[in-house]
Amino acid sequence: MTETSQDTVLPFKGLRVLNFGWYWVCAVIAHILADMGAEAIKVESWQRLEVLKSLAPFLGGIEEPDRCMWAHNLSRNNLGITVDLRSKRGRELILDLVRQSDVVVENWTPGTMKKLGLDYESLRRVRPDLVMISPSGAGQTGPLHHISTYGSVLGPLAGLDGMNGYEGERPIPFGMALPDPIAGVFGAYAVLAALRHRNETGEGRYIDFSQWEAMTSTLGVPLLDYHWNRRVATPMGNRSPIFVPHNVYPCQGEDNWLSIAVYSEEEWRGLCRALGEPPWLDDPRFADKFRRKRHEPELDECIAQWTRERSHYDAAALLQAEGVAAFPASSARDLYTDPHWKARDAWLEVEHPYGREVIYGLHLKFSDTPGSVRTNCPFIGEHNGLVFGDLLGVPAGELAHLEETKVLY
Amino acid sequence: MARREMEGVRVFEYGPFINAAYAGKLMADLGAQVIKAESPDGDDPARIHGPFPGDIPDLEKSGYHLYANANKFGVTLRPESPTGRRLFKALAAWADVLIDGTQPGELASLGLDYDQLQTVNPRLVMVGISSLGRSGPYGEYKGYDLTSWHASGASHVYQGEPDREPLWGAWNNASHWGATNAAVAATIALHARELTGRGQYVDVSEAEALASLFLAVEVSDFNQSGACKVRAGVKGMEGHAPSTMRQTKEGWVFVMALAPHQWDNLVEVMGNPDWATTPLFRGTSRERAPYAEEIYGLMAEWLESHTARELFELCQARGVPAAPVNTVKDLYEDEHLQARGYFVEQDHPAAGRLRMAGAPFRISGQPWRIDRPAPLLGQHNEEVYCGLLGLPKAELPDLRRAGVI
Repeated sequence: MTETSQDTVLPFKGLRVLNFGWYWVCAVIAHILADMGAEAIKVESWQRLEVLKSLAPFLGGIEEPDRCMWAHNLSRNNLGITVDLRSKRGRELILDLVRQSDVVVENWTPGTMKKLGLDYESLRRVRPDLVMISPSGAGQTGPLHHISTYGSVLGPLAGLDGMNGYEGERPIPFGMALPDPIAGVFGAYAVLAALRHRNETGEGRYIDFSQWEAMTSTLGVPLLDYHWNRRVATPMGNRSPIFVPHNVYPCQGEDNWLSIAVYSEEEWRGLCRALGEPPWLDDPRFADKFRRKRHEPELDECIAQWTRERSHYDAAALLQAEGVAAFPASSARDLYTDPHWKARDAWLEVEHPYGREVIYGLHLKFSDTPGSVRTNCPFIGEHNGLVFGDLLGVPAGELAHLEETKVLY
Repeated sequence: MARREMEGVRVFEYGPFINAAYAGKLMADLGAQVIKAESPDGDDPARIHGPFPGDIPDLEKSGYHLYANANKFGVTLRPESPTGRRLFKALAAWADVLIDGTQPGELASLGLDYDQLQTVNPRLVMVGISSLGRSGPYGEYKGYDLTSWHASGASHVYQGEPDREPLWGAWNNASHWGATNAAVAATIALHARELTGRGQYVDVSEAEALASLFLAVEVSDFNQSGACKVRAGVKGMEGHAPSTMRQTKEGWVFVMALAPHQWDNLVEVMGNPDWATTPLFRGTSRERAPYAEEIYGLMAEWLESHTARELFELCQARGVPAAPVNTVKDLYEDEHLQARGYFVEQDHPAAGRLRMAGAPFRISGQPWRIDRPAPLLGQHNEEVYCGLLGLPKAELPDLRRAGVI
């Protein structure tokens, strides 16, 4: 764990965040606040563990929910409690906890919190200035509010995946649920803005968060193209309408690729210098940006002849030295071994009770209040004693009884 | 009118194309006062990229500009001259937040890096968005959306066919991502300022933020086991079945069943075909993964006898996560989005009536709205430079002549 020096301010120290969330989105919202000092509490139950904790990889290779490395990344800086929300006593305790909390994050199927008596109206009765966010696939209202989604399903639904693919070919799905971390960051912004409002006015806020709408709002421009020109965006591979060249090029070794993006004439001249001014540059087909765009496949082939003879990192360095935007398409190995990410502490080597492991660091670099990773992802229910006993004052005898009767389980 | 979440926050936004612009939009749309400064030549790529109404290029009608810069005030500024630098510093002195989307080193070479700006405004929060970040061995590297995206690992690991090149996140995904993270960073730093009384610099790397929040588990896995996952193409999320995008009678559909009950329900929705009830295919999505191709082959007949929309409805009625692969046309006409009032309409003086994507989230107590269309080039020069910063009106013509604004 990184040490926090005493004169470093943790901006959200003293803020308590209850996270009832499943899977990915809510965990991102909670840990962005927790990295900055908030006390995040992950609320779960052995009665129905989240699917995330059944996903590989597992630390030490042993398939146990407490070894899930997804959770180890996402739930750092969280405390962990277990409670059966279907039990009356469990819900009472949760209301006691909400009374002492600032933010609630949940992504149950819309309507579930209301059935449990834990919807915003109920919660603000015990905590009037509560900020609560409910991410769901399609929002809390509207004809499709009930749909079951994962992030991987939302990419297609929100229009993202339909534009993903090789130029002129069929759409291809993403290999992982990109809309989840995207929604997590949008959601964190919504909560931060609502907290700002609360601090200024004393008013709480409820945030109806449709992952679909958040994702689609990043596609505002192709939607305008449809509005004006009835054009339907289709996969365009690595091509851009205003950059040329703009592609990935094969390099030495297996499956190594270099991305190169050139916008200005100045950058084009830099590219020519980096490539050693080969004779084909005098080809009239490449004389100006307009012609280069028209002959892009031929230009790409010429550049590929140069990259094939170089490593992806060397070629990037040569191009960057001439002011050209170029960087390898990173593999997991590249991400872990690249000295750049090491120097920026992108990855943290942490000591978990089950062994050493690598998780991500603080993804935003604040000069004055950097935040910190202070604790590991908790074991499931690890902090029942701390939260229900020490914080809420449940006597030890009752605590044991509640765990035995699976209320706190 | 109800107070909005970011009301009272003054934002100075500087940087071409999308990343700074979208970050500014996220704050402007919640009530922050955002001043966007751009080149007097009108050569911001956001004004050049398009799309344009009727496909006729016009720097006041480019889609990127109109979408990302609504709700802002627009001024022109060339900070290369001493006068330009003075105006830049005056804007930085006015602002709570400066969003900088220029390439690493660009502002520093003009004497406008954070250390300099802090001397005119110690409470300034400055957020720099860049491809690879502004420290470390590549802290001076140049980058655009394409290189950020590929640097993050998103493409090599998750996007494209394994025997072909990795793909780009279309429509500048990495820039939008960097922008959203920048809005988070700015808001956190404003909170911190309440406690410390001083501003700070936040270095946002599009690639690092994406590598961290999207790719980390693959790095954890590589560190532990040496496994280096490679993109699986149309197979989608590898290691699980079904999790795939398939052709239907009309359009494409994405079907996924992770939890065991979702598979059982999918089998029912398919009409309990013999092949699907074989014990081989029971169990978890991971246990079925080795038979993915066989399963998709066997599902094809059923998939091809329905439209994507029908399959969506059939599956969702039984809680099976499935969705049509929506196009922008589908979205534009979608009844659910319309019922939620997602699209907003607005008139722009040059581009006419616009119908645009609306709020990314709904905060109670205040309606999300667009108050003003994207500014024309230099539209608010007088309002900002004279009204806000107190420059005598008589100076404006000289500044124009000198090409500063």
